[in-house]
Amino acid sequence: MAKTYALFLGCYIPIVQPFAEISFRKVASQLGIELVDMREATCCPVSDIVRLVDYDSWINVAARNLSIAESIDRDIVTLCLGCWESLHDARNDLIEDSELREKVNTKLSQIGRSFTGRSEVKHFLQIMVEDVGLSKIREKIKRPLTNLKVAIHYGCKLFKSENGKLATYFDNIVEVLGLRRVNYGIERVCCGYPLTLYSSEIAIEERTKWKLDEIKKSEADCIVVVCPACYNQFERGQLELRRKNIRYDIPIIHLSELMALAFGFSPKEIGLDRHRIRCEAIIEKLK
Amino acid sequence: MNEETNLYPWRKTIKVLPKPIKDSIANIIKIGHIPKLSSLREKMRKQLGIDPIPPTVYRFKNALLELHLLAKLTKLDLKIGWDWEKEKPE
Repeated sequence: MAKTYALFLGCYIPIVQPFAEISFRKVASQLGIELVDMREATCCPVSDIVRLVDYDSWINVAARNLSIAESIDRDIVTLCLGCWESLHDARNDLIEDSELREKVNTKLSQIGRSFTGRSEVKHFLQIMVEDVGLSKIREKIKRPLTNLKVAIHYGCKLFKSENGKLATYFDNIVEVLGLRRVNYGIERVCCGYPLTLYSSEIAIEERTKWKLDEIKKSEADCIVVVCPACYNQFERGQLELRRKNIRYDIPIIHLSELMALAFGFSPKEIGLDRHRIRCEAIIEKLK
Repeated sequence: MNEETNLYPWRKTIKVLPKPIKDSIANIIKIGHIPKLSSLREKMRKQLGIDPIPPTVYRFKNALLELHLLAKLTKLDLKIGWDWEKEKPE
């Protein structure tokens, strides 16, 4: 029977990384997953920004987003680690603190909404491994990606999951797709995105460039991510560094894109030819 | 609760919000999301076969009214000096 989820697109996936959105929609359809768009959804809101400025605003806006999934009686799935963290943390806080829940529900009642906690918040890695299963993913593979060498960039928030299970799921899917993983030594180091909120230059110099240098040495064909903020940072970092005549040309790819390619979709169908850091070398390897 | 725990997660009092943080919150209040949807991005989405305007508050503007009410109730607007008439921070 098809499992249905409320799809929380967030801010950056639909605008900056629509390739991940189209890929996930295609992969989900192959796996018998039905996705319902959360049409009234706003920014999660991003905890690195709104929670730091005002907890009360953050928890109320997040609760409103959670109430949308509850109104259609579905668990939430998101492709973004930032959205996952924000909604997951907000749900936990609201479930654990009845006084807080009451205060938030008083505000939500003014817009005709309420939070109960019955919809779970899941990152797409979680539904792929826990709900779909690695064996079903393996069955759908038409094009094993054994030609590709990937540098995994986990993203900091992945390790906030229970016992870091989302990081293990990331490794599991990479392995099932047949990808060859390179070890570059600083897999767990942050891409630099949170630092950009204070200084883009320092973030690129002290984090992004460090990672790009090590990944370049590892001779990976691409960086694989599960978060649009990390994607943005590696893309922006490479484009900024080109102005200083430092060139990497390492494509950044969301794991959902690699799944779609392994399931037999063409690079053009998922927009792999539309990335700003060109993916021609990868497309050539897939032929 | 001492001053240090009161400030958590900050280490010291923040007197002026960094511009990227203020700008991001301004966009959330104005359009419901952080990045703006350009015609170029709309075109790319259309070419990829997905809704040119993402099926969120980008398309369903009524949702913005709910967000605005919450922003006023929680005083998020005051935190960044949001001017509701000019639709930008003061």
